[in-house]
Amino acid sequence: MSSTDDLSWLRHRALVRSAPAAADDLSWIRHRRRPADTTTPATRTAPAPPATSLDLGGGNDTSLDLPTGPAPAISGGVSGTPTAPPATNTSLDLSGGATSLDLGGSGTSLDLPTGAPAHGGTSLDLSPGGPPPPPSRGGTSLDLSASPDVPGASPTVPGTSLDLSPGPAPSPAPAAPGPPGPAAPPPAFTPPRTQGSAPTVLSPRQPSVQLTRLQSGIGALTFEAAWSPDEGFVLGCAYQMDSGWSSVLRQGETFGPLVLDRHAGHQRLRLDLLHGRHLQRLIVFGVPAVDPGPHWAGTLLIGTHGQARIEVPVQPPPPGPTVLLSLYNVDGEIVLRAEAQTVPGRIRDACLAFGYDRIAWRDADTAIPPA
Amino acid sequence: MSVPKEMKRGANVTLTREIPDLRGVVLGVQFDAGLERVLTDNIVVAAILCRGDGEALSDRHFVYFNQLASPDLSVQQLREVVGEDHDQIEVDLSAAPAEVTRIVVVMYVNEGTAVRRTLGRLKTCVIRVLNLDGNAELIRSENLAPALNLETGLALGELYRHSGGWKFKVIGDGYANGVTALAADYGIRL
Repeated sequence: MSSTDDLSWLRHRALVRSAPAAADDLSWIRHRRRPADTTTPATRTAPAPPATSLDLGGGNDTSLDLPTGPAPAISGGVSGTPTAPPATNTSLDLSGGATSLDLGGSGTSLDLPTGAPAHGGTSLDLSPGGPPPPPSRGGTSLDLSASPDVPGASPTVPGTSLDLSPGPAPSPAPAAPGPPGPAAPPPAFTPPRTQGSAPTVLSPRQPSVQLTRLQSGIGALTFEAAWSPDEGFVLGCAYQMDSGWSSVLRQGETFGPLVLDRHAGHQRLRLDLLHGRHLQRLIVFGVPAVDPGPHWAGTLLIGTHGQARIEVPVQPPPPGPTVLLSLYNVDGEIVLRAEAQTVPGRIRDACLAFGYDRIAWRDADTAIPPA
Repeated sequence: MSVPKEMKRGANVTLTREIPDLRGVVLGVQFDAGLERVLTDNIVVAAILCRGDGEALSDRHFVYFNQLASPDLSVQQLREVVGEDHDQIEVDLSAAPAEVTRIVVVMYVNEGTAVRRTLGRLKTCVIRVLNLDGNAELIRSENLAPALNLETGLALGELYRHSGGWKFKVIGDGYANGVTALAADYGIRL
């Protein structure tokens, strides 16, 4: 980071939010932490001196959810420099003798180097246990890296440091090659895999299944509507690509890796897994066309190239579109989940209920197709 | 170097005798189907790390676009190739675990939603071996395409251990049933 682009991104983010000059301190952190609490930031920072940046002494109203401890002592003074030119709108100005920012607790959270250069720059090192930043660096820098390369850098001390680094960065590439780093903590929940011989039946007790990297990348996934009358419950899907493009596929339509057609008298959705690697998520829904009656039953059958079979029982649908299944591409492994969620309203409402809010609609049942 | 530049099917060469300090190799695959874009768009190149009995160590040892590295990171598929290859696989020979005795490069036509195509439409299909240090081409196979007809899978070539070193052999065997047959042959559960 050069000495000129000091915290400019932080300022920009603050400026985009058009925060008042006195309150445009790390406001993005607050927004991330408390997305709902956007109405009262002014009251929180109002008593602070002008240009006070990192307001961490607010007692129970501390914005950054840091371990405050008995007394959130801020040694060294975070009060910033009132002499900061207002035109600069420095967001996080810890110069002016500010040397360390101790947030209490048992660990040091924000290590600021002593002996700041005369340029007034001070770096805010948020790396957990990393070495002090080079003191000669001019300007103000905000180092959010986890400094994994530094020998002797201790792993994160739980609950002590303000670690804004996203940890082991989720790689955009599946199984991206790289040096073997520290093992990531195991996920709290991992869906089961398909079994070798018997079909996997998704139920309310066990609604999800996770495909392997081979099942998620070879051949195609097929979703077959096994019910009759076939046209009584019309299949469709909504999808979102990595690019952000999102729309709806109806019977007879094709988009990129997705084909929704008929096969052997049944509606069938296919996902090409070679070209579908840029698919982020998908929901499969059904729309009742006729009253199915109380004795209606059906199954959504999902098949992999290796003949693994997953069954999603479908109950008699109440009026309204019913989301039968959701699909997520989790770092190269596809997770399928039976949903069985009937959404009162139209297809647009069902899509919105599952977070597909980037679809442009012609009417409540018709999305605008890709160009 | 006295290695013949263009190797026939079944021919092999002792890489580590020709280049004693060989650290690793790049296995490059080139193919050309002319205007047959449906075929080239659906060809997948993969590497399979095998034990002594010829079977893959696990399904994690099938390195392809959705699993870009073997668990030990000795074999990695490049997302962006260098040069004119269609696909490239980097092999760090010293990092390969001792239980890995063969590293086979295969290709198959993915049976997705596109019209089914066979490898017989290929005009050329070549596997070559580059030195990981400097990318100099060490070996180039003969054109494997003329012998292909209705096949949808192909074992191109393999690196294998021999007398403490590594050899490379051009295979060129086609499979009529694509990745399904390849997986069955190498003991991979799809």
